[in-house]
Amino acid sequence: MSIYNAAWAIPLLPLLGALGSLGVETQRRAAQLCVFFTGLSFVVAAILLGVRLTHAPAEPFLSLLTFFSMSPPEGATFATQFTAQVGVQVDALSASFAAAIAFATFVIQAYAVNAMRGEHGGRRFFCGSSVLAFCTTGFVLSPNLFDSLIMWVGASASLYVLLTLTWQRAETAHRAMRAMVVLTAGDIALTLGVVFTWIKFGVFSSLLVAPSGQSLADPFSFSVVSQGVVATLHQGVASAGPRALLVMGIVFLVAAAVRSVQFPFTVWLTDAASSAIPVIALAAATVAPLGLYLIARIYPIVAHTPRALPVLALLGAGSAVLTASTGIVQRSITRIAVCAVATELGLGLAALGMGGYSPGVFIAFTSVFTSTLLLLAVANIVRVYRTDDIAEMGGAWAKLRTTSIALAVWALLAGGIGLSAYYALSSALSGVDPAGGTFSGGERVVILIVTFIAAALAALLAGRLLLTVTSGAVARRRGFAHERVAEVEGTLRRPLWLAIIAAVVAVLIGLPGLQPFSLGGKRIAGLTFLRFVFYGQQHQSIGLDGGAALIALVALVCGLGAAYLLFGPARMRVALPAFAAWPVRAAEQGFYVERFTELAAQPLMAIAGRVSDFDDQVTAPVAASAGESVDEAATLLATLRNTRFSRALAGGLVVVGILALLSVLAATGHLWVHLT
Amino acid sequence: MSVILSTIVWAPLLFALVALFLPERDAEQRSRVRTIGLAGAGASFFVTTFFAILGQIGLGQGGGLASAYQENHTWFWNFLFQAHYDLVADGITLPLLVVVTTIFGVAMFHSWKIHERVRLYVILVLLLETAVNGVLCSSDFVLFAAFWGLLLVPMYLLIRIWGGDGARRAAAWFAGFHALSLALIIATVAIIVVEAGAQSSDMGADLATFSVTAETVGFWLSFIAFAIAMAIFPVHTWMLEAQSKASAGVATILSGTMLLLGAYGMMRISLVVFPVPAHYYSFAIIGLAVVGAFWGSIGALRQDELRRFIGYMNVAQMSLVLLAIGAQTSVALVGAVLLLAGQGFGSAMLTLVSGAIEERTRTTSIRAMGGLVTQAPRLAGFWMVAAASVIGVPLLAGFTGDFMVFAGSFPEHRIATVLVMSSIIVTTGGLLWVANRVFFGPVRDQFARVHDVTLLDLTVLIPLVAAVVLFGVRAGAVVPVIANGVLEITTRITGG
Repeated sequence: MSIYNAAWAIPLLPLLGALGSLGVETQRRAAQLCVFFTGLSFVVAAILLGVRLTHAPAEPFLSLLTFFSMSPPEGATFATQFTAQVGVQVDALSASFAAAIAFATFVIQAYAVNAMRGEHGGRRFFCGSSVLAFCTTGFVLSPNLFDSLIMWVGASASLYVLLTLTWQRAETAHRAMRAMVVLTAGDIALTLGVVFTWIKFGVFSSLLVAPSGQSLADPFSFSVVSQGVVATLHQGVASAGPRALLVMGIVFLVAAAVRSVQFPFTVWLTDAASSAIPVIALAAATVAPLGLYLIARIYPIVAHTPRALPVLALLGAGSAVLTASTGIVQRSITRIAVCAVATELGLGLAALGMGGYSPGVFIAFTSVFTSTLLLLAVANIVRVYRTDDIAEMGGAWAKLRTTSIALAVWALLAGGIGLSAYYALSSALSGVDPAGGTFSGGERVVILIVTFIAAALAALLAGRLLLTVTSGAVARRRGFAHERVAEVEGTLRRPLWLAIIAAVVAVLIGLPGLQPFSLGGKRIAGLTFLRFVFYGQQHQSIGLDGGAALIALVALVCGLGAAYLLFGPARMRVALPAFAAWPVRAAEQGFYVERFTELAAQPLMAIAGRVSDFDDQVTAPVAASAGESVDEAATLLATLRNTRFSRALAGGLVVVGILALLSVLAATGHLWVHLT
Repeated sequence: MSVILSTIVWAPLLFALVALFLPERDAEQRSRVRTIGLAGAGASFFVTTFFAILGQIGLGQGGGLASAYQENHTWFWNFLFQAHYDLVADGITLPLLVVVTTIFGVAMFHSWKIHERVRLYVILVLLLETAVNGVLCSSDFVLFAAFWGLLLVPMYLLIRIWGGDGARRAAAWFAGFHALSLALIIATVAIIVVEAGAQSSDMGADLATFSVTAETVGFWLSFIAFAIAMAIFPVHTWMLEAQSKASAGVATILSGTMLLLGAYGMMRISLVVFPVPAHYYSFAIIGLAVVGAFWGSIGALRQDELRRFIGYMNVAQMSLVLLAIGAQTSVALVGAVLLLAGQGFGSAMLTLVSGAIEERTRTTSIRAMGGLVTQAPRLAGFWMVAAASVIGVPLLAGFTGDFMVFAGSFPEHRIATVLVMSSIIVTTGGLLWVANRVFFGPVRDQFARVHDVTLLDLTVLIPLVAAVVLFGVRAGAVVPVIANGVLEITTRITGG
């Protein structure tokens, strides 16, 4: 029995906690139970990660259960065996992300035990967050697309439950609905991708040799998809060609873009910003990175789709520019945090798009920790200052030392030291095409420029947040006792310290140039992330890219420098030129994404009105003519109720019924009548 | 001699006859009548469930077994043809029998909320259950038509007598449409019996001697008949009226079982008996499915009446089933049957919850409601579970059905399938929008004394939740059974 079978416990333990929390009496007990089980889940994930680190070159471990199975007779269209399986897959990618997500959930839940004490909806938060943990860890451990789809949609549903915690506020419910609608669009895209993949590769999979221990090659599995892509390129798959790969790639990318809050799908996470901060933390740290994770899993498809990768990179870098710009001009600290998360994920997408598989995955991995760190720090700040408006904050360095340190660590990591900018720029510079060769010079230059701008803006955003909150004096406002601003209690500081340490360690293990080493006779193939998680048979060359490092440093300096000038102690006032007024105004409105979302619903409501009117004025009268004739007949029959005729009619019907019964019995030979 | 199916079909009628002779002068006597009704529905449910499990094991293992149970007796004959009392439970019938008997059981529990003419109510529901079970089990066209006709009067009276304002019109509409459906079915049966040359109304007989005209006419007659029953656009308005004006228990039966019968008839007769025109006109069927999916989901957004909203949702859901019927692949049809189960349970739950809300708030207007979750959180929870099942959240009844319908329809009808999938976004938005308006937001003063679910509410809702979860989690146990039943349909379609 392999130790990897314990991977089943990683998603199931939080689910157990969720179910158990429904039966305990108090909210605090429910919270403690959920935190306990999530913590246990993290421990199991960490152990499995440790085991995997010492067996990095081993084949992925698979454990599967059949969800349903049938044998379609249409063998030419479908596979001869339509089998959908669920289970777990343990490889370097899943092991590292499972540990990261379990850790993030554990820390956030531990924080919320005290942060949400006595708050309305506390029990629902812990139950819902545990179910969310089941879905998110289940997703990263998924062995195939079908299981991924189940966990992906389940995560959306769980998130909706969390977003409606404060259901007595109509605005919250409205935003939760809007977020769910946007997420559903991504869910539909993923469903379409899974269906399309099965249609194209189902018959192909039935020709493959089944892996050991299984009766057939799972058509939804990532390995079969990978083989299918290669076979398609060599015209080895009937009714599938480059166009099929293109469609497949587009559909999966839409799903990933929605989930990883790429512009213009940022609206669901900004809507989440109106709910409790632990909820935003879960959404940002454990749900949003799954979009990049999905791309990592279906990388063979996008890698071989013509022109997909550069478009992906441009989408990611462009999204990062827009979200960073939005964050710089926002006043709500939670919205700023959401924009920062989206920016980091945009840089990850840019790296993936320029062939930087390991760097892109690394950025997604570190974003789990940095987002947790950021949102917990923001939660403390909002709690202490009792406002969400960043303009009413300040002086935190003197009053909230731990929180300020956390914010500073985050700002440095997000600003560039966290290697997100470095790896995105490095991928753009090298531009290695996974399908072979390199991207064109023009593509690399364009992506490089946009990525540099994104990196600089990310540094500016991080600097603004840090300096506005920590420098200066506590802002005075009516009804707020500014002299009582003080650091939060220890129970809220401890999860913060955990998050700081984890974020720093997560970045350290991604440092370029780290080499494998031996520990007690065991070879640790990667306490260096990029040598642990890689695409294809061999890891990419992960030396230090001097050019990228220099450009990243310049971006960091530019960004932080501008932040210091604009938001530091000097607070230099800059008069905006006339042409810059509109972009700034647009950025303040989030580039009108939310307004467009609201406007898009209006034609739908107008059509709904037409549909309803058509039913009332056209189809209903037609129906009425049929119905009213029956009504007339019923009225006519009712007039016979009190007449002798009706009694005679009833008697006649009884006689006819008896005669009919007798004749049926006689006809079927069941009436024993002897006639002589 | 096996009499399992006859027991399932006729047990409710026997209990109805017992109830006929019971007095209902006081509350205790009325309670006794309801208990007899519950026993009748329960007997049917338990026999179905117990033997369905056994049958499932047999059918799920395949081995060439086409049906779990069969009963066949010659019924009557004349110079033209023979009609048989022929009941069959195959892979399609068994799961649907479980669905309908569950819903009737739940509806019978709901009868404790009926205080007038209880005996008549119980008798009519049991009669209706007999007819529904008979339709599902019939393997003879004449018998099928007879049971179909038996549906009309009980349902008409149930809507008319116990409905709210406008029930008379709704009942008349139902009767008019259903009578038209019955007439079309009788015409179809006549065509089959006269033209097929088998001199038998047996559904399993070889019917290969149709002329092109007869086959085309027969297909359209049957398709229209069952489309009416399924409440497909544009013949859906009767269902909107009936859903909104009938009492909650009757509306539950309507949305949970009557629509299901239409889809079942379409698969069993329109596809199997007339495969050539069914394939030739599949684009028309698909087109109707696309229009219906958007018509239902978009039309729902404008409704202010809660039950009418659910009616539009039913139109959208049945359009997904129609998509599978138009695709005519084994995967899609298996998905359609699963979807019927999911839709049946989900819609029944939505209807019961809406009935409970209307009872407490004394209004049917969505605009007038709000903030109910504070007073009735469990009721809101049941609504959410039902909505999740309708949307297709994994591990609930609707998910596997949705997935298989889309997977089975996509190869031949890609654009239509993508469009219908897109309509789910609107459906999701609609259900959550109603949840926002009804449950969320600040508490309204007039609803400050609204109470949460009672024991009776829990008794009717928990079995449905259990069924939704069971069908969702254990889809793997049901799929092979349904696939066995669908195999016969696809064999006929492909001419094998």
